[in-house]
Amino acid sequence: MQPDLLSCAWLPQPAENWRTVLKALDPGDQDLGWRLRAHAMCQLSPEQSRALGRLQTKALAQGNALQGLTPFRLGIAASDTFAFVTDCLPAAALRHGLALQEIVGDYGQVAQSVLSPQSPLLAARCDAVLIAVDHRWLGLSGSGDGKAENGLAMIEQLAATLRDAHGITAIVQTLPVPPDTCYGNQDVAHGDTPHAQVAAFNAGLVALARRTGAYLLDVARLAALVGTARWFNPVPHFNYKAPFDPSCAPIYADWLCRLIGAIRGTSAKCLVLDLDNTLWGGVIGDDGVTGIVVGQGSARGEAHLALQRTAKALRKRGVFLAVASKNDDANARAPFRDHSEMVLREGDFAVFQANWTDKAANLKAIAKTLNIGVDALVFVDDNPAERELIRQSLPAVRVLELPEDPAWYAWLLEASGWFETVGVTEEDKARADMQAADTARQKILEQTDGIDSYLASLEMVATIEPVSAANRQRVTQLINKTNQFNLTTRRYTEQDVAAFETDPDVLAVCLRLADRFGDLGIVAVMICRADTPVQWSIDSFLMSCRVLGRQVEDALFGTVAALLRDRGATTVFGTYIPTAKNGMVSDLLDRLGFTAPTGDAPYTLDLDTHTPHPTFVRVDLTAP
Amino acid sequence: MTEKDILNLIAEKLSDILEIDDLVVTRDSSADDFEDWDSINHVRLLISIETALNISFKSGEVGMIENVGELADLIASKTKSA
Repeated sequence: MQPDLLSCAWLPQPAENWRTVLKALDPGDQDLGWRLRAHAMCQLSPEQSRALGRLQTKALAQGNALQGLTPFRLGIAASDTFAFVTDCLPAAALRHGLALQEIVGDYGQVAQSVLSPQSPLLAARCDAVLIAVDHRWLGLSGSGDGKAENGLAMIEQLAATLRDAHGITAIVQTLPVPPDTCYGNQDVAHGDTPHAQVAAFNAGLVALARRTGAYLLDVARLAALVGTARWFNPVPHFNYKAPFDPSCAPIYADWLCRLIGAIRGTSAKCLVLDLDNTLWGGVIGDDGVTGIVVGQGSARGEAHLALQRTAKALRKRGVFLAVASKNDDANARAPFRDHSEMVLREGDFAVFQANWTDKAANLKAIAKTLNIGVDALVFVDDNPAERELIRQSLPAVRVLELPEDPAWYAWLLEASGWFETVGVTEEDKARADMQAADTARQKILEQTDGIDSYLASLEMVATIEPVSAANRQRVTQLINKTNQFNLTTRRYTEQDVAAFETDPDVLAVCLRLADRFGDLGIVAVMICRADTPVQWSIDSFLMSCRVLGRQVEDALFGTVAALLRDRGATTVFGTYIPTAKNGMVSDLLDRLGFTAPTGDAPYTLDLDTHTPHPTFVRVDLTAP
Repeated sequence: MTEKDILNLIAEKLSDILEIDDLVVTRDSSADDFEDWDSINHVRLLISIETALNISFKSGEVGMIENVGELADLIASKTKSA
């Protein structure tokens, strides 16, 4: 049977006692955020999703910080009845690590919600506003030329108003091709048909999104996947003013939340793969390299190969690959070295755990090696018992539910959207190769006798430059993805960052690191704000964990302190905001020479008496 | 499905939607009897029944339902022919 895309087939069915377990959850529980997230990791009905949402609301009202979830306020300006969708949002958001609060504008009042200064949507200080309109609202349902341009102009006005007047990012939707037809097969050849106008609109929308900094929700793609015959079911549209068939609401909600997750950096970062009967057919320990089924010539072999291709493509855009297999190490590595049909090679994996220890321990080891949380892991294993073990022992891991037929493995992994991204930066593309350079650095560390001679031998050069259009995308990505070395964990959109660049009371810089093994790209960001002309505060200080232990933070802070002094500052304040993940910077300000606070006061540093730590990092400064 | 099954299903779905534990309905129950049974919850009820029984209400039919009894009759007519 074909897995049902509409009900999110990559997730398991909810447990029999799902509702009982939910009722037993305590709104005051410190771990409630993590529990809700795990509880949402299954196929849920709109009613079940609403029940999750009610508990979340109750917990927030009691002051529960919901550890493990990233808060996000989403405004919705919709042309149709949107309750079908909002019912499904709590489950979808929790599944993607978000505590979503949605603020829905008045029914059908799309333009008013955005343009009227009295709009409750604008008063709610949303992180983003979704403009959910269809081809009917945009006037593309009949025939006629130039309608796409008019529709685009309307969307552009809304997106630009949100950005310029309110500093809010818009989320805009591509349009599915409606069933409306004028000339049948020839619709596609005539510019004045809804089919052609919608195509022109979608092409224009991509450029519009780039221009206005809006995010794209590709509803056209989603509707094509589920089938536009179902999507445009006319009965619920006429009966309930439903924007699309209500059965599509759970997957629409998941697509929306995976996009928001990508904006906020909650997407997964590492794909953990089992080997036997997952990456190839058969058992390598029994069948040997010549006996396993993989590659062209057999249906099953091609199916396993398709999963390898998907994994390879993910690696190319910066997702880590790892192996977790119950095998002897030498057996497990043999196909990657000796089987000519394999797409994946040994060097593609950042971590290779083939042993007889239980998989939960191996997944923890993988996360630790890569300096990421287990919630950033996606686990793919054909064995239902292993999947269940991980769900039980590490509920934060995203475990892909699989049918018996391997033909669906690659399909379901892609459908899950767990590696959603909003922009692939040069750093992403280079990450896999950087990992190889890391291994080379590790070798040097083992060969040299002291940390000083190791650091000296790296010949590090840091380029510190102001945040600008050239590096804004990567800086925003770091701001949203960095969880561990992050003093305050404040998240900002690209628009927020753009605003910092021109604000005279803000100093925003980033640091690019290179060493003798290669360029590591932009790895650290620091943002300071002027409280008064002589007193500045550290708003954000974050760094990629890939460069931990290399004095990069000392080099960055030393330079920023000098820049602040040039601007006339005498005092710098700092605050550490603890989260579940940033324990490693709890003493950062102490280490940098700040005076520890008494009571609620911030950390303080006197710039007149401050001497920066000497480092092995040579700093090139591009003056702001 | 017997009429009792249908009434039980309506009660179960309404209980979920209106957040009232162990809610009881009769043929005479209507939106006037429940404070939260507004138009959007009415739509939620109809869609959850459509999904549960894999049936579909025709356009216009849903506007004519005055009480639980009429809804039950409509459901019965659709599950019989299916």
